[in-house]
Amino acid sequence: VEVHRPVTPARDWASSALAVLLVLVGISAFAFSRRTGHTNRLRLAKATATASAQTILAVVRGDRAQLNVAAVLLGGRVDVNDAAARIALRPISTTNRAQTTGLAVATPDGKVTMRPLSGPLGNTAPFDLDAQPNWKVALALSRDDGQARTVADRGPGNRLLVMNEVPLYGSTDGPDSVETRRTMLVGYVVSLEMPDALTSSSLSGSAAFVGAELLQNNTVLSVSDGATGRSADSASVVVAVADPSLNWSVATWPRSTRSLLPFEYLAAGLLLGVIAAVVADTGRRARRAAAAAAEARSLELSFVGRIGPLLQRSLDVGEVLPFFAVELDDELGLDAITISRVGPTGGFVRIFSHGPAVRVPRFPAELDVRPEWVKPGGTISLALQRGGRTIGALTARTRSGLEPSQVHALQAVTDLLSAALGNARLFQQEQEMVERLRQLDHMKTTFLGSVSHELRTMVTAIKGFAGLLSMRGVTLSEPDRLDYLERIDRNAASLGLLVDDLLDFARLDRHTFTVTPQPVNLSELVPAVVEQTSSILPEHRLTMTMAPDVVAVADPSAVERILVNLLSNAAKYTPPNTTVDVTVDRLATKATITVTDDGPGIPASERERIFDRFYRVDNHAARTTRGVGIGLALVLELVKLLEGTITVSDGPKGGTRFTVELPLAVELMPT
Amino acid sequence: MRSNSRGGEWTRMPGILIVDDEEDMQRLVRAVISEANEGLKVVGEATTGEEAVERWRELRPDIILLDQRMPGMTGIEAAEQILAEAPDQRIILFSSFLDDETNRRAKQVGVLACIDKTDVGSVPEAVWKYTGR
Repeated sequence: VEVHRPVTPARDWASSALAVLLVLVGISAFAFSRRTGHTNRLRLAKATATASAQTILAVVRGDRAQLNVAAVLLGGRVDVNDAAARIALRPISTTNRAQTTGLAVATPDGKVTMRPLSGPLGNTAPFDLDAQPNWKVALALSRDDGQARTVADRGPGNRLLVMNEVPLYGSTDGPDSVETRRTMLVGYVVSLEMPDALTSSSLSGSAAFVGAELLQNNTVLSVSDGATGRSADSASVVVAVADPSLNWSVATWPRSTRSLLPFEYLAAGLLLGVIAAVVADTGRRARRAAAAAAEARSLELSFVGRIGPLLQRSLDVGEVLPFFAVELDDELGLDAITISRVGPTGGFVRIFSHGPAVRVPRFPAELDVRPEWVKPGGTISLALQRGGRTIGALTARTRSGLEPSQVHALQAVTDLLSAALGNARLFQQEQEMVERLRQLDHMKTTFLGSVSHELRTMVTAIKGFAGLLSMRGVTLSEPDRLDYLERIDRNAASLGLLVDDLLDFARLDRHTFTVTPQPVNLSELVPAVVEQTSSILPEHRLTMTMAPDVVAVADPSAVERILVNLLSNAAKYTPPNTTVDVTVDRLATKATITVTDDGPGIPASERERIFDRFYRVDNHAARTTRGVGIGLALVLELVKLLEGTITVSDGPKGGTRFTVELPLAVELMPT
Repeated sequence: MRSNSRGGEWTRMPGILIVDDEEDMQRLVRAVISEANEGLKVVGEATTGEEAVERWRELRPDIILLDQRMPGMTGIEAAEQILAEAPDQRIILFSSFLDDETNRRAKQVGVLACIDKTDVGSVPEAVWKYTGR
């Protein structure tokens, strides 16, 4: 008995929910990481902007301080060719490689010439400031008010340059009026800062995540490496450089460069979700398949459980098969079922059909391998096997097809049917055997009754007539005395014949009856035997036709037993005053003995059985005559021992003709 | 048929119907009765049960000597049929094979006696006994 657990839908629901949950977690992680990354980058941008502004301020202030120092060192005496001035200016140039130091020399006609001395522009030829109007304005303003200034403009090579400049006058005491300053001005000390270099070095640290710009008012002085401008949707952080003389600010913003992190979360989340979904689905499919298999198995078991007792209900197959077919029809939708058996010739023979006829394989070899399933309207043939041997086939047509489990179930009940058919066959054989034994027993009983009746009748006749002769012999008339003697003689002969038959029969039964084949001249032997036996046919006419010198290979005593039995048979089963003819002849290589009578004959249907032991023809002649049913059986056995044959046919006048054929002796065969 | 005396009384000679399928037996019984010479007379013979019934109706013998084993109807069956018509009919079963069952059945249908064929010499005595003369 198979116990299978029911599969609850709750488990499927839980696994599906888990998969959905994991997918949601993945998406949330992605969103969270995006949001977190953005916030983090914004925070970074703010920090970067603050730090950059402070750095730039520190650089600019540092430079200004150096410039002040330089101005002090020069002491109001500036010569662009002065070695001291160059030495004083050198420290400035080395503090920041972004800067170029130099002198702007003003000539009396008001023309200012820029002389770069060191730094990236150190080798540049003096250039005209007319091309830089911002610088020119700033230098003029500083000349007039004596204040240092910082201003940005496009310099040589269209490079953005920020100029810090301090005016230099011819005395250490600063002139006190605009006019004096204009006359005493000898030049300027300048440093040229390159914001490109400045910003790229101070802003590039977080370039991967943050974009940065250095702005003067709305003019972009510098952009950090790789930052191609603010994206429209990005929040930016602007921090002023916080120097009253500088109108600079640093703007930073989180770059939209995507981090790998969210992708990992997303991928992991999605992967987990997919795995969970696949696992859940696989589990669900497996459980469903298991549940379906268990259900199919359960159905199969219950089906087989119903069919089994049905097939065992009776050993008469014909009684059971209609119910069997109806069950199959109901259970598996088989609208046509044919059951065949392997017949004597090895082919299938239909023994039962239910519904319309289906094509049945002709031989076991035509049976296909059992299919996995059958399509709707298809036909399936399964072998009925017993002890590894095909004993038949079940062929069925299905209305709506057969699932693999149904094919399996059909195979199971087919196996049961095989067993049932085998048992029925055994039962039938047993019944036939019982019937044969019963008949045999009946025949033996009849035989014993017949034999004892025959024996007692003959003995009674012999004893009775002999008693009459001995008691009343003197008073008997002569005809009566002769009559009694003749009756005694005839009964004694019959008695002897019966006893001989019984003894021969017993010997044949024990296979101890031996013959000695030798040349026997039938033309001489047969008339002699007929003569000796004539007393058992007192009321018949006996005729003989003898071909001369028919010599057979035979045993004389066996031939005598055969002939006497055939004559006795004729005497018993033919009416008085009919003729019995005995003929000896040769036919090709055979010697023939023919006994023909004019009696009622033997029906064709009985001729097969007249040589059976204990068998007696069921007709009036048989009923009205004596006999025990072993004479012809004995004749057949003897003829076989002599390697001859015996046949029975109609006599020319409607009686019976027995023909015994024996081998002719070779030396006398006709040439 | 009024002739012989027995026990000093004048009686009609009992008429016997012999029924046997064996011609030898018929001949033997007839000879034994003839040799006994005790005033018995064989009035008829039959070789089958059916013939016996017919001959009985025709002859109405005093006693029937009936073989049991015959083709077709058996002796007891013939006796049953005859006794159904004439319950007083005297019948002796004369058989070569008398077993208990045959004896019981014979008594049951009303047969007076069963005689073994090997005891054929006792037939005249039995006939006299059962014809009561």
